Amino acid sequence: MNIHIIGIGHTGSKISEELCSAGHKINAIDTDKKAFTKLPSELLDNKYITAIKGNGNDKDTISSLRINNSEIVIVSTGKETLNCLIAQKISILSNIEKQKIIILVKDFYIGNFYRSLGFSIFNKIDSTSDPILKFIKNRNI
Amino acid sequence: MYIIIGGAGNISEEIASSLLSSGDEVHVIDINENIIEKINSNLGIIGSIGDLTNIKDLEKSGIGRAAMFIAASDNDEDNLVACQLVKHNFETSKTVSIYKYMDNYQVFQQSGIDHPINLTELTINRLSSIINTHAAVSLIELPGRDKGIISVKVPPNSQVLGLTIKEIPFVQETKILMVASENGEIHDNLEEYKLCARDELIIRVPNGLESEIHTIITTSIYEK
Repeated sequence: MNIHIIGIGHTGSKISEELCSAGHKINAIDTDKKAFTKLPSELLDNKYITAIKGNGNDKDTISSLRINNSEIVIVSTGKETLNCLIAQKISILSNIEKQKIIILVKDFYIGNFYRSLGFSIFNKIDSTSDPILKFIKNRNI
Repeated sequence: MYIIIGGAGNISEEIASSLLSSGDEVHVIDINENIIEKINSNLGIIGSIGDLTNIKDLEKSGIGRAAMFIAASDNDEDNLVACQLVKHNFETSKTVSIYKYMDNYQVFQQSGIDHPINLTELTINRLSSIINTHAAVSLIELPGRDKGIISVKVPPNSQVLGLTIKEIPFVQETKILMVASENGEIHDNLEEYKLCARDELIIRVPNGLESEIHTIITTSIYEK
C-alpha cells in the first residue's frame, strides 16, 4: 500500500522504517532534508522510501502528492495541533476518507474530538500506558 | 460579558485592553509565565498560566461560564484546535479564532468555528479600500442569515449616478442602508435621494452576490 508520512522526526522515521519492512511503499515528507538522514539509506536508494522535501502544511505541496482513497496518510510532526490542522487540510484538498488519515496526538481530549470528526487517532500516551497496564495485570503486581 | 482570550499573541494584550475598557470581564491564558506577568502588571490581574489547547486549563479559567472564547495566540494551529475543542466541549461559548495564513483559509472556514478572522484578509481588504477606492469592502458578516454588509463607493462615471435608490436594478433582498457623501454628510432618508459621484454606499447583500452588486454600481455609463 502507498503510505504518506508527514513529519519525519523520531516517530515518523521509525514508522517509515517499520511499515517499509512490512512491504509498504512510503512517501516521507519533511520540511528539513536533514530529517531524511534518520532513514536507512538502502531503503531510500532502492526507492522503497521516497523522500520529499516540502511543507506538509502547504496547500500546493498537499495537492502535488495526489493522495487518493487507496492510500493512507500518517500525520506525525512533533506538534499535535499542527497534525490536526494538516489532517483537516488534507481531508479538504484530497480525495481520501478521513478514516484513512491517521493523526498522532498526545492529549486525550484532542484525540477524542478528532476521532469524533471521523479521523483515525493514534495516541502516543495511550499506546505506552496500555501495554504497561496489561503487564501489571498479567503479573498481578 | 465574560470573555476568555486563549494565547497571549502579538495582539492579545490590545484585544484584552479594548474589551476591558468596554466593560467586559476578560481573562487571558498562556503558557508563557513572562507574558502573563507583563499582562497582569499592565492591565490588572486578568491573566493566568495555562495551555489554550488543554481542556483542564480552560476549565480552570472558567470557560464553562464564558460567553465568548477568542483564540489569539501566534500559532494558527493552536488557535484552530483550541476553538474546535471549546466549541465541541462547551456549547454555550461563542468561538472566535484569529489566524495569519491564507493557506489555512478553507480549514478555518469549514472548522465549525463561529468567527474565523484572517489577519491577511483584513489587511488586503483595507489595502484594497485604499488603493482601489471603488472596491466592495466587506464590513460585517451576519451570522446565520446568509447576508453580509458591504461598502461600495460610486465612481464618477457610474451608470447609477442621478438615480434614486429604487431605480437601481438590484436583486430583491439587497438593501441600501445608508449613504455617505464625499463631504461626510450622512443621508438616512433615502426615498428621494439621488446618487452622486463618490458617495459611499453601505449595503446589505445576500452572500455570494457581493461582486454582482459591485458591478452594478461601478459599471461606467459608457459601458452600459
